[in-house]
Amino acid sequence: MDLLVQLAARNLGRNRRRTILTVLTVAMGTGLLTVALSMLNGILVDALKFASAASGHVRIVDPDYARRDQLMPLAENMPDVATVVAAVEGQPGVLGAYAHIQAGVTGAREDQDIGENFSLLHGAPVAYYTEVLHLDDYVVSGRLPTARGEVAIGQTFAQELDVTVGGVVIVLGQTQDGSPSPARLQVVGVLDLGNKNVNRQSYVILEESQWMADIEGGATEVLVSTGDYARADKLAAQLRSLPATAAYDVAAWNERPPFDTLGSFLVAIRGIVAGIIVFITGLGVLNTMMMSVLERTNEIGVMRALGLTRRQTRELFFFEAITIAAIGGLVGVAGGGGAAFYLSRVGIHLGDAAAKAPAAVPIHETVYPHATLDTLVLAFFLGIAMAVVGGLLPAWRAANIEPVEAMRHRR
Amino acid sequence: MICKLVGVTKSYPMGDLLVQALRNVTVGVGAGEFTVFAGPSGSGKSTALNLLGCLDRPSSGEVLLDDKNVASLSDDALGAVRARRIGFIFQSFNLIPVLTASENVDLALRLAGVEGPRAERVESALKAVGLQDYLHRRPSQLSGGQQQRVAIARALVKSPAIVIADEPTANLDSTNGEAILDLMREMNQKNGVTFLFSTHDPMVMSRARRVVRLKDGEVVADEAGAGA
Repeated sequence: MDLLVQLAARNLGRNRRRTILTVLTVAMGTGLLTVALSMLNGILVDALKFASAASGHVRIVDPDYARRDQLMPLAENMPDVATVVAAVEGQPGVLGAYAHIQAGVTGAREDQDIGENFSLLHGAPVAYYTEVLHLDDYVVSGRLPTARGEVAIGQTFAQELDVTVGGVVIVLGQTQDGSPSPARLQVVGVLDLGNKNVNRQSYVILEESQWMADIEGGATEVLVSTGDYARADKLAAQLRSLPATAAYDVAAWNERPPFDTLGSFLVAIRGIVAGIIVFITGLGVLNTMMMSVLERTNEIGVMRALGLTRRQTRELFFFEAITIAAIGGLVGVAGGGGAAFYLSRVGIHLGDAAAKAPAAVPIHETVYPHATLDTLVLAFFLGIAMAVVGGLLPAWRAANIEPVEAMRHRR
Repeated sequence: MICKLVGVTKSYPMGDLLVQALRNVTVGVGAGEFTVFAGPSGSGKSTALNLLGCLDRPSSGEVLLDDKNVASLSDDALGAVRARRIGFIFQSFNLIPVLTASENVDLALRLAGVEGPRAERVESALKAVGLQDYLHRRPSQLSGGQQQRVAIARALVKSPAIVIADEPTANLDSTNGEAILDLMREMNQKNGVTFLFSTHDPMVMSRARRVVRLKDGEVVADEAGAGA
């Protein structure tokens, strides 16, 4: 084995320019991969993290509400929501439990006709807005609502209504039995959450939406947050066993649409991006390794004549390819990690297309790549995969060189 | 006999044709011989050498090494036979360019699986060919004659049963060619090393103790050489 390692190391030095070019190919591939995976992290994972928190890492609702949750049926509510919140809040792993009502509303200024502009109205305790959604970070003017009669609205909705902080809007919703339910609310804050659809949402305190929906003391759902959103399904299983939740549907975010398919979607996107980069970079490695094999046909024949086995010949070229990949991978991860770190500070503007992403999984117009340790490790090992992809055929070709090649008279 | 071809035929496909490089050839090499396979291009001398050196397999017939038929051995088994029992000297020297002279010689020992300290054997082999002062030179830092001497040391260091030399002087000028032949002849006479050459160089044939002449894939003469 040490003979092969020694030979591989020496061979890498014999054509330095080509070795450096191959290392750079792998480095560029790995670097690109690091940035691409970090960007995906920035776009999807962070959006997923936000969206899963916003809709509850674990959500407790009436089973009929769960069946028709796209319609947000106010009639399928939880009248004893305080009991459920109290029972859940004492459980290990629970950071908070929040009663929540969301309903589609139209909005207008007092001097406008009602019915032109739509918004999704949230009603929840202020703690949900500050501790889970961190809405205070997105306030561009004013503040969050703290009392009845107050509303904070997204920037798009504010522009559509042409109101600013201090203005008054008439919000028309429904009660749980379907009757019209108008409310006169003062705008106390305008928010910019980086996505046009999300910026069409409005936020009031829970009591306001309870009054509007005529669900006194109740809510349509209880949203539970936990520290480790990836393990929310385990918490959901734990909460299902509580007597207080027995009559309700308890589901983790990744057990509900659209998130139940997003995990595999994310894996698929990552796989496609990584696969394309590994394949293209692998072709680069293949090209130079194959040239090396063809140039060294006679030399390989000599070593085969001297007793080098086919397996050892394959290993020799694999060592060369993997050494190139390891060096290129380290350089690429360092370069790509540095680029991702820089971009994580300045951001990448994706334009209007991203802004039109659905509010359920909001993608911000400016994304900030997020390079995690596992991204760097993954990119490095995919760099090794590039060498395996690119080194496989040349190594196989080299192993099939017959020892009689040594007798052919060329140098 | 150290090695022997018995009724060997070797055919190669060439386009739509099947070229017969050897036709029912029977010829052997005994211990301590200094034998030349001679003949023009296409006579089959290199094919015969490849078969006796276990580099290739016959289409039919037997290849005996120490009275055992090696024609049916697996690739790896043939490789092990070559590594331990056969030394090779090539026309183009064929040293590994990234290894020094001593590392090239050591390579033969390592591939033969020689256990224990090897440095002394390597130095001794290079000293025997007069290159004790060139141990750490790479092939590119050596002349053609010096490279072929390293190749001889590489072939001999593992004490093989036979050394197969494929036109070993073809890429050397006459002075260096003669010097190399003298060296091999000396190894043969002093140490009893068996040499088998292929050549069409009259100078090489003049040093041989036995000359086997091939033509169109057949042995047409097997006679004592001028060096006998």
